[in-house]
Amino acid sequence: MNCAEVAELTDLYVVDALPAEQAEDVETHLATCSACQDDVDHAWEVAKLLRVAVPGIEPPSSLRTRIMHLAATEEPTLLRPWAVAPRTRSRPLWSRFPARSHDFRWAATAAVIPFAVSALMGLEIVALQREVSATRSEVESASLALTRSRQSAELATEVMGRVIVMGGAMATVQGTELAPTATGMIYYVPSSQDAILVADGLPRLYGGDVYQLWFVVGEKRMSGGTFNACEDGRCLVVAKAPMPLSSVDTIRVTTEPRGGSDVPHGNGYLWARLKAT
Amino acid sequence: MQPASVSDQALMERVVSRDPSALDVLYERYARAVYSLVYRILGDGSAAEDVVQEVFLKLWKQPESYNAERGALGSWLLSVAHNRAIDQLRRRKSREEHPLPELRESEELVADGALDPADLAGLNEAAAAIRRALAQIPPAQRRAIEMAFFEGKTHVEIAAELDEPLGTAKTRIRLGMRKLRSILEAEGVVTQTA
Ligand SMILES: [Zn+2]
Repeated sequence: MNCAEVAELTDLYVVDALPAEQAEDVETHLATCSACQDDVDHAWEVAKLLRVAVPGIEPPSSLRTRIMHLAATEEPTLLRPWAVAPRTRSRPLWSRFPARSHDFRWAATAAVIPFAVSALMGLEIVALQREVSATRSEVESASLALTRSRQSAELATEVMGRVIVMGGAMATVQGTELAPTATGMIYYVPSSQDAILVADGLPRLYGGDVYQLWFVVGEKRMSGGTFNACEDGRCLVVAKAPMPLSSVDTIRVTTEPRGGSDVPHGNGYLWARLKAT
Repeated sequence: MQPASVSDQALMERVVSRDPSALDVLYERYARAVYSLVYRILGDGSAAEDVVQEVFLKLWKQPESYNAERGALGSWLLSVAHNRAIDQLRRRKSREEHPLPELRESEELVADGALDPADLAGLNEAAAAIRRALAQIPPAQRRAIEMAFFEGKTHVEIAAELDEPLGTAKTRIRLGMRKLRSILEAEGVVTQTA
């Protein structure tokens, strides 16, 4: 489409009167033509005003009550578990995991922001978090009691608070054959980058190895940092993904040499599928 | 008319810091306008309530999705609500599970009981101006604009529905929009074309 053809359609475009195909043609032109875009913006001023030219109708007062109630309490339905892969002991997923590390397009922007939060425990937080009525201060005191440092507790509290308030998601964490008794949960807000991993039943590592968390998107593995499990095999880790978690397929935990690796080399211990397949 | 008190921007900052009373003030300020628009599109009170609820909870849960640089909060809420309502209308239409809402006379646009301009901080004078302008364009042009903007119809569908040649609906929309623009420009409500 050229400028003259687009000019013919500008008014129809802003009141949404064009069939989809024609609207797309207009948009294609607008993407590269600021003169036509200016015309459209101008026509938009009129179209936007039409929205307030409708008969005024008072919404029922119950609507306000309902919305304010939902905002204040954040109904539990907002916390819905994502589809979780069935617990299975045959583990093709993990065996496909390592190897072709040269294939991983390892962008500098996918830089690691590790938050190894040593934790005494977080399963109590899970219980609290399930009662969505938990207030920020309740979560905060629980986190503080369960982690070693105030900084860790604050971080966990902040993220958990967002999960609770903004309507988060959770996914079940499963252990591999190397951690057959491991269980846990991942908590996160799909539109944000912070995830909390709470797990139980992790084997103690020796020889200076650490656990390392990975965000997996397609073929890419991006580190979410390293951590150690507590002596009782529990951990609470806050990890930051380089992209919103809605685009992360799975989270995996491997063992790596102290300091962590650029790409996963070690054995897998935990995994959780974030995206429904 | 209430004295203009706290700005939308200040309220949005409080929303970001999870203060529900700020959401309540914004609801009071914009809910009537949003509900009226959605009701006009869906013609169904309970469906309209659902959209209003969705829009305000989106504001509460994802306040960052509103970008103040791209326009006033009221316009943004109306725009989000409009899109959601038209989506629903089209889904409803495509499923054909529900009959379409009754077509209404274009006179409704200028009818009594239109939005109280005080509902819309920043848009109040404009709201009155657009109603005056709509009253001045030919009813057939007004009708064609409404069918597109509020009923989600393409100019092709409008022509078919009114049993008119394909170009007629197109022309009516264009002429109507131009006339509206020139009236609003003369009133200084929209910016002048170069
Ligand atoms: Zn152009």
